[in-house]
Amino acid sequence: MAITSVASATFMSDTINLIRDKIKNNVTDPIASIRPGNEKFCLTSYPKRPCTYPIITITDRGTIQQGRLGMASEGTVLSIDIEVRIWARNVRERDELTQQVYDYLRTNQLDTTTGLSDSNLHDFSLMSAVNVDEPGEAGIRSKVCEYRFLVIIS
Amino acid sequence: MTVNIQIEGVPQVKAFLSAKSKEALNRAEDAIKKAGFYIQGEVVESIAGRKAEPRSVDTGNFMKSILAIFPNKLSANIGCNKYPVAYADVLEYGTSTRKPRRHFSNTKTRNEKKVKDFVEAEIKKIG
Repeated sequence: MAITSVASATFMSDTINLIRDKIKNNVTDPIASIRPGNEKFCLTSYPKRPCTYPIITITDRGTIQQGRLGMASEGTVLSIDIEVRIWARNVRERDELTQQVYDYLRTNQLDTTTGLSDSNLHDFSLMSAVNVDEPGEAGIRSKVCEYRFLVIIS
Repeated sequence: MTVNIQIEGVPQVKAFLSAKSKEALNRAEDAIKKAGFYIQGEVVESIAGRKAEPRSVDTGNFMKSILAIFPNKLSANIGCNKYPVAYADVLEYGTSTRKPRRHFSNTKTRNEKKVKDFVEAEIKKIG
């Protein structure tokens, strides 16, 4: 079932799955036509078996409670760090996919029906983007992007 | 009829606020220094295997390379001297064949509140 909004009781899995679905549906897989049928472009964990690159992994990088919604309130404001890691065959592919992901997330925050804020993911922010390139000509080029969102839990 | 309003003590108030703001800045600087060295210690502990992450000690070079640098009064950078430890990125983020160990990012998440507490505690000391 497609996640359309982050619910208070399932905020962690909802956030990961929502971002995965948004990226999967809006970022073009460069090898969509030749990717094996049992492999995916967007994953919610690092691949444990050999896979066909490029891929995008979306993982949770920690949650911090920024504060409560009021003195007598059980509601809280959480900041959730999400790692979107691009694993690509070369630097150009890595950077193009990173740009596509960032551009999609940046420009789809405030739409009243499909925006991230409407799905309870507020205050989009790119915290860091770090290159981790494996040695050799055939080494996997990856970029680790850390995004932060505020989620209202009530 | 003319009403003459004279506010007394303006220079004294200005001097008081100026002194307090300087004190606040000094206190914040102290807090950033304390927090920076505290986080440096936490990263080292994480590498040494005293936290939830896997232990990353073989020669001890990585552990010894963790630095706290203060580029200006109100910021601290905690990092690794990459000259002797070029593999620090691989340990932190992992690769297609290695699992990430997350010594820095887990330390950041664990201690984000602690850093705010350091600053808050110092600012509260202003009389």
